[in-house]
Amino acid sequence: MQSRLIVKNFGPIKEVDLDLRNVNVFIGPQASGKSALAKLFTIFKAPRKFLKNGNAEANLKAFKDVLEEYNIQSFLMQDSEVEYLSELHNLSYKNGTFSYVPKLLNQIKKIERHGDSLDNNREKIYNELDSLSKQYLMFSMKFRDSMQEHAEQDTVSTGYDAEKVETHLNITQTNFPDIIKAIKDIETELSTNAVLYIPSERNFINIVKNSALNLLLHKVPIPKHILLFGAELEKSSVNEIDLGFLSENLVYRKINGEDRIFTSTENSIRLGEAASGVQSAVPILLAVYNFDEAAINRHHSFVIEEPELNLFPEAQYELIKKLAAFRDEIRGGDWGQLHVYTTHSPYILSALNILLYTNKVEKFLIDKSNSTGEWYDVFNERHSINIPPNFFSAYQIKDGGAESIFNIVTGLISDNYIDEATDKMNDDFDALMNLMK
Amino acid sequence: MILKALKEKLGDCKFTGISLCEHKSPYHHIAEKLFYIHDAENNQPVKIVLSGDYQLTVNNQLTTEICVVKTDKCLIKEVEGQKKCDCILFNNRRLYFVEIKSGRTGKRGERKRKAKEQLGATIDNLRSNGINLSNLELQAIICIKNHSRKIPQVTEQTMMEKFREQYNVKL
Repeated sequence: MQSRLIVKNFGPIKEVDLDLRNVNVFIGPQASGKSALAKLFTIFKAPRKFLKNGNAEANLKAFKDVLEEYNIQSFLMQDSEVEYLSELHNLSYKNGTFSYVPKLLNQIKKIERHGDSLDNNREKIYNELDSLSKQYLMFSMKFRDSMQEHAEQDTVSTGYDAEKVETHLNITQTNFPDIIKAIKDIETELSTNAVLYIPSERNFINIVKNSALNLLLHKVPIPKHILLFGAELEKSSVNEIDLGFLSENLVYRKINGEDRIFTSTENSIRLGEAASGVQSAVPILLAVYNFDEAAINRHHSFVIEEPELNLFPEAQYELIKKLAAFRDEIRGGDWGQLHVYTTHSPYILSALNILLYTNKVEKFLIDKSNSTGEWYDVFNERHSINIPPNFFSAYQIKDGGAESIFNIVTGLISDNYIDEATDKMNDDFDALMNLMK
Repeated sequence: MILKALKEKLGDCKFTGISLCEHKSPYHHIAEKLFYIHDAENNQPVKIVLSGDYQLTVNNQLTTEICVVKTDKCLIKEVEGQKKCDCILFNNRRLYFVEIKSGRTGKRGERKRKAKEQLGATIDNLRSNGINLSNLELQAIICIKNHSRKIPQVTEQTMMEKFREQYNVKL
């Protein structure tokens, strides 16, 4: 899934133009606006989650309300401009007006209108549906299922012609409305299935869970996006997570609705009592693993603020590998998981770079010989997870702008502020050491 | 083979008039188990030393004969804009291009980038002179002080991959 986010004069952001892919990483100093950009992406990816079929004025209000939910309402200024462009829809906020163009829905409606004179437009309709089904995996499944189903029903009366199963002749007055309904449902799901924003305050949720009533009673103002994430966590149907990457034998289990961390088969503690690294990592995995291919309206896009929080370097690497292993981008633009990470960690950047390089090395090895050799098994055993370069973007956000730090030629992450900071620290250490001579 | 080719194509010291070296030849043969390379940054080529200040340690466990070639301010003549690394080390199996960047402090990123260019230019220089390196295992080394804990840098990883792509030599 490819999309473009253009933002001007929004809080600390002066002007940025981001080309977003399936895995995206934003780095930058504090208050540079990287979280604001991640939040705008969260909001715009599924616009009908907040736009309730209203007119332009109602849409504008809904937009302002959703900015408030994410605690970025004060970033909106007189001359703010925000634009989001994707295959699914275009959204823009400019000169104080908000517009939403549901591109895919309009395309479906156009096909639907062709159906008014089905016999004349049958081939055109088939071609348009076929082109959509190549773009969206779920369309393809529903579309071909419908065609197959009707072809099989027809077989009873007219005799089965295998060659005709996927031709335009199989679109009939009977199945056409079903096909349109099925693809409209998918479009609705794509437009309402919001990105889940996993805030850096995620371990706070474990702490407040037991004091929720007191917090309500005293009207403690907690930003809504944190509460939204907390509510999503409560819905997670994940009952067990192996946390061996954090500490040997460590397991998360949900027991009678309570989150518990098992240090051995018998001994367990409440999640709120566990080490800070466990409290940071478990909410991420609970959200990301709560993914069922059969169920609709489950999140499959995530913005994860600072995945490194409270984690030892090796655990940061393992977490990134776990997250990458759970994505499945190659199966279609509407499927698989989409991740945005904001980070200050050289370990997270390095982990992503290794996964990008794994992809490159794998391609090299396959081109060099074949994918069945012994070397391939050895390679695959250690490096089964990778990120294809065309599914990746990385930006550094600073001084109101955004600069790509992804080198498309090498397929790897290039020079960046985090590494410059490391260099500066090493330089300072050297300079001090020279004074000891 | 490689020594013969180097001598044939690149010749001898180009700084004989001003050289302060004890050994005037750019080519030194040594079979010590442990020796060091020192760049005093005094406008003179690097020196092989067995004690005292040094930047690069050569651990020659098998005590095979190693040839150290002083490239900068010695074998390769000074031409405006022509970059070169400090020295080349080789035996009959391996060849290392070495650039030492530890005399001064500060601007570490820039120094690493400059070192990468000097190493690349030396590889290009040898290849363009028709010196056949294909039978040797090649590696390029940037020798830079790193006293504090090593933190992974994607910049370094990516620089290594770019270098491999460009010169087919591991940096």
